Amino acid sequence: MTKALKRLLGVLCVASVLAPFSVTVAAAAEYLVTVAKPNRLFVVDMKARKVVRDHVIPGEGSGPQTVVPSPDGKIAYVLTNNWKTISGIELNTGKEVFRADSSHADDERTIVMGMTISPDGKKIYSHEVPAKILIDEYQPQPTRISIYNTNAGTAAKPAKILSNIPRRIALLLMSDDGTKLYAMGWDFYTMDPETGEITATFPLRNWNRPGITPPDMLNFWPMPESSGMFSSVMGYMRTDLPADDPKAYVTALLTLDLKSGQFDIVPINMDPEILFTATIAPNRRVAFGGFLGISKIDLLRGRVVQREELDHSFYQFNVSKSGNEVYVGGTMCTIAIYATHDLKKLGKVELPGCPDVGGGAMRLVNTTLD
Amino acid sequence: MTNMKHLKPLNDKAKLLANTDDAGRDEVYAMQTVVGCTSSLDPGWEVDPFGSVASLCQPMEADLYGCTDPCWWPAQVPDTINTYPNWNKDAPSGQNDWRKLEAIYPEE
Repeated sequence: MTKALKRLLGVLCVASVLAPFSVTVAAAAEYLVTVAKPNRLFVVDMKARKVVRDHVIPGEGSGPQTVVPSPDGKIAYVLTNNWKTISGIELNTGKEVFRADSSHADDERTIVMGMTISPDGKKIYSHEVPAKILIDEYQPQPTRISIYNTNAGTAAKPAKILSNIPRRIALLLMSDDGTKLYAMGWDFYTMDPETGEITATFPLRNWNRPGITPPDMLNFWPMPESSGMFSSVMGYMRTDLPADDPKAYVTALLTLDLKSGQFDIVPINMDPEILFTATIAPNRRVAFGGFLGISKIDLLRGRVVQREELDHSFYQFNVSKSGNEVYVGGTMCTIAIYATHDLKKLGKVELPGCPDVGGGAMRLVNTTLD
Repeated sequence: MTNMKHLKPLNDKAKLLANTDDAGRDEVYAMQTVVGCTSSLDPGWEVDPFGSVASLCQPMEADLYGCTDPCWWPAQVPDTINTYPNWNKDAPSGQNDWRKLEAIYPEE
């Protein structure tokens, strides 16, 4: 008997002895979570290129929007009911385990755009814009951030309400350690998540940078999961050039490191083109973004290094945690898949029945499914 | 309104507003995008930021719900936040179901 065969038999014997005591543990895998009209929530196995869960979000609503995954990847908190309600859905089963209406009074009509979760998964932060709808006017009420305990069930009421919160907040983010709550609006605010006190302001609309105008931004799609970095496309104009000079239009990325709290602005040398989102790869050296095309952006050199046409306009570009693939979604019913190294199209996944994602979110989670 | 220097009231309601004393009126807030699409004043993307049409969504159907659900294109579609939340509920695909999208009329 050779040494190799003895070694193999030894391994098999040990395995056979241990087998009765072994417990099957499914390894966590990466899934893409997205929503579509009128009230659907999908879980997609991107490795298998297959939709593996197709859930119905309970209640009213014709277009789910923001999706915030729980840190363990087991629950998706979805903004539904036409921007009015947060519904927490178990990704494995489709069961609704959390529900909170953002209107806290009968005569109040409230919408939510910004929503985030604490790193321990115990608290949902919801930026709420309430108004009373009178016969001839909308009477704005003070904006607030309501904090809901995620174990509060399907009739959740705020455990705490933070007041004196700025208006025009499009998204909320939480620092990795949970000590800072970020709110992006006309400016980028850093808040104490316990009190709502603004501890720092990174000026955007109110910046005063020589030679350029204030920026224009549109973002309610935070996708920091693969890199730990939030990124948002911004556009501004150089005031030293005439408006009909294409070079006057500058596209840049605003980035925020959710661990260090560092903000940066990275101008991108590119032809005038709209980028809806641009998401930073895990290596933090490149980002992928676009709208009508997909662009690979070198963040260190501040330039587009490759661009390819897309089949139609898309809103969201997310990067796998392996850094190998870009997932392109939003707008219609297809998630297109591209290779990060050469932007070669690798495939696509069509959502069953082809419902539009519209402006709905597209997030990545690591979790296990039965 | 004493500050109204450049607008001329044309109908009775506008004249009433023009003659209203500012005193006692509540402050007017610039609100966030949506508390109802009728409060938006955003005509949509007839041109792109560069004065062209090359950077508009392609096809239009790809952008239909991404724009209407947050109350952009308010002049063209019903208010899905307040008054007609189910306007497109039976037309989940803009590219396939656009024929199902109906005009709406004031309820009796």
